[in-house]
Amino acid sequence: MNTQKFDAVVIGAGAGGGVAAALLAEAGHKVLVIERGRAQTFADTGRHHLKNQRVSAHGHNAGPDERHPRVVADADGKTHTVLPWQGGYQANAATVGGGTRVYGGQAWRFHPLDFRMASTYGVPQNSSLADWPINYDDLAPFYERVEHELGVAGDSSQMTHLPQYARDYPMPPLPVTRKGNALRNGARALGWHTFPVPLAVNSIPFQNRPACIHCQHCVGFACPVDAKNGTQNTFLIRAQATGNCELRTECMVSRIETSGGRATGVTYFTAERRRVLVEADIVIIAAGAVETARLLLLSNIGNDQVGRNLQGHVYVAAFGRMNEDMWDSIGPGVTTATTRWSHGNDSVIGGGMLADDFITLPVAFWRTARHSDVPRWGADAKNWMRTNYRRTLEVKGPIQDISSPDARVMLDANVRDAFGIPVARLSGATHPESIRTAQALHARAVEWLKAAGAVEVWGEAPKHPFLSGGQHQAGTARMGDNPDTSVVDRNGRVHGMQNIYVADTSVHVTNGGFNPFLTAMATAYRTVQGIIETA
Amino acid sequence: MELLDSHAAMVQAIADRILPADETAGGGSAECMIHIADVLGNEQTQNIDLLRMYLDKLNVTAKIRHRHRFIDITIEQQDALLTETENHPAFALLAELVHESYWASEAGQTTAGFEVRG
Repeated sequence: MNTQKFDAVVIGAGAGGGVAAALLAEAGHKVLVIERGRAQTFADTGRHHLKNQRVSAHGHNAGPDERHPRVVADADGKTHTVLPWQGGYQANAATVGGGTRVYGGQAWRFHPLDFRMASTYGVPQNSSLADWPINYDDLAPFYERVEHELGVAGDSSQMTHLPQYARDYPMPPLPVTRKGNALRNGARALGWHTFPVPLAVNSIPFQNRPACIHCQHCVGFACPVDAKNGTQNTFLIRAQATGNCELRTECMVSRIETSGGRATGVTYFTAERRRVLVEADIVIIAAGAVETARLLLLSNIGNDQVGRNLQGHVYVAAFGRMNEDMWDSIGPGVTTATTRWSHGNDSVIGGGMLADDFITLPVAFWRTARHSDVPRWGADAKNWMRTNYRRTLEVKGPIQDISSPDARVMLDANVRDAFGIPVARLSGATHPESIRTAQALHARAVEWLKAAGAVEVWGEAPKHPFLSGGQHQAGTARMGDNPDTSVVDRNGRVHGMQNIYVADTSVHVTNGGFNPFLTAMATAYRTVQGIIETA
Repeated sequence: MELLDSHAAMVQAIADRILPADETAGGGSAECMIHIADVLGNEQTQNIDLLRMYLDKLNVTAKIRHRHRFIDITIEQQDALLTETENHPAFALLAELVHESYWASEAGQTTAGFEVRG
């Protein structure tokens, strides 16, 4: 076995790992980033409409691959082994950049009350809902840094649900679409405030990369002109430019080595299944909420809270057919949001942001946007798509999932991955209160579409709790001051361990009623800044 | 595992009834058939026997009622037989494959009005 020594090992080259690598390397630390996926070009990710991170009917385009199965336990306890693109897997991505390589880039700050869900609403029975140990004001300076260092387009003056920004976004918003204008008119009629969706997409040339060309394949795909900002073209580039950061891809970490409350290093397998041990003074885990929990469990690190409170987002979606053609070909497509219903809804806990959506591929539209009355086959089925695809408005949004301790990542006792490592076993479901909140938000989505002029509105609200995770997976190593109810402290350090940190969405106590990557990056930024200052 | 040529011809005929050709191509286009054959041959092998039995039964019924193979009867006669069997799991499988292959194809994108610029 080879042995090498680094100041810090970062596990995972996604949103949090990229930030950690850049800050540590720029501070002069010798950093190793270990990523199980590979670096992918635009051509590598392709534009296959049935094999991408948004529609994974027969595979996907940003990993993980078939060497990384998981086990899913259904409500009856029956288990199923699933491949990464199959139902129940809760896939994010496994590639350099992680999910940010192919995401849509909705760059939201959480609402201040998203950090105070328990004290605002109380804790429902059988829920583990809790407040974050830090608040919006603690994260605001780090949100700002990420917005400027990653590159976010938006208009902070219109984010009236948040305290005033110290600095506006570095780029103006992307152009509003015909669909977005219709929704803005509808919201105006209802008296709801709307504003441009902040996006990690260049609306103007930024950091020596061009502006968005408004193509129709944004979310789920890589950008053809590199105008979408992920860690692969920002933070990781910075890290490697220092000469202090080495990135090893297609390497699978199997264990964090510890001794006396300290990490001493990391063991991983290369693609050829060669076992390598690296020594490290600091270990930062940023492998995503499922894999981070799995690695902590594999390493016997942490308490009984590790792997619990898995959450992503229960989404609501409603569709409305207009009497005229609403298509204008302008991508990415998501332009207009409201936070009117993020909080303050009657008789439910929390709420969520509502917005229009990215351009939906026809096959995705057929699979997810048709209602039960649409003929399954024949000329009428074809004509329904012909009539509705370009005329349909979509309103979608994530609610703040109400955490459940039984929504959980464990190690499976029987199934191992291609490297011989026990795989993650996923079980449980979101708390039933999440479904009630989703139903309340869905009613607002319907109201908005009608006000926008839709002549037919459809789409059902969620009815039953299910395991929420997927690309917004979070919560499995949550942050807290009490070691009995959390996994890491307010600085991201694992309770009881001197030099092991978590820097991804796993630390989210609640996941906000928004896409979570900006909060993951800001939290990682804060955690790593703290490490550097105390080193 | 591959379908017999006779079964493949039936799948193509059914695909053209699931999404009939009009001013744009139908579900039985060459692009769609390549995808369907690929999925049936590689991912749905456990359902091949179910599909073969369904196709054979459909063919027998066509011969009894109309004295011709399924692919040789009129489209109205085909539609009538498919309507009778539309709740069969093999038909559901075919319908799903035809729709996904078609709406992901260039013909399907054209039909829907999905315009690619850039």
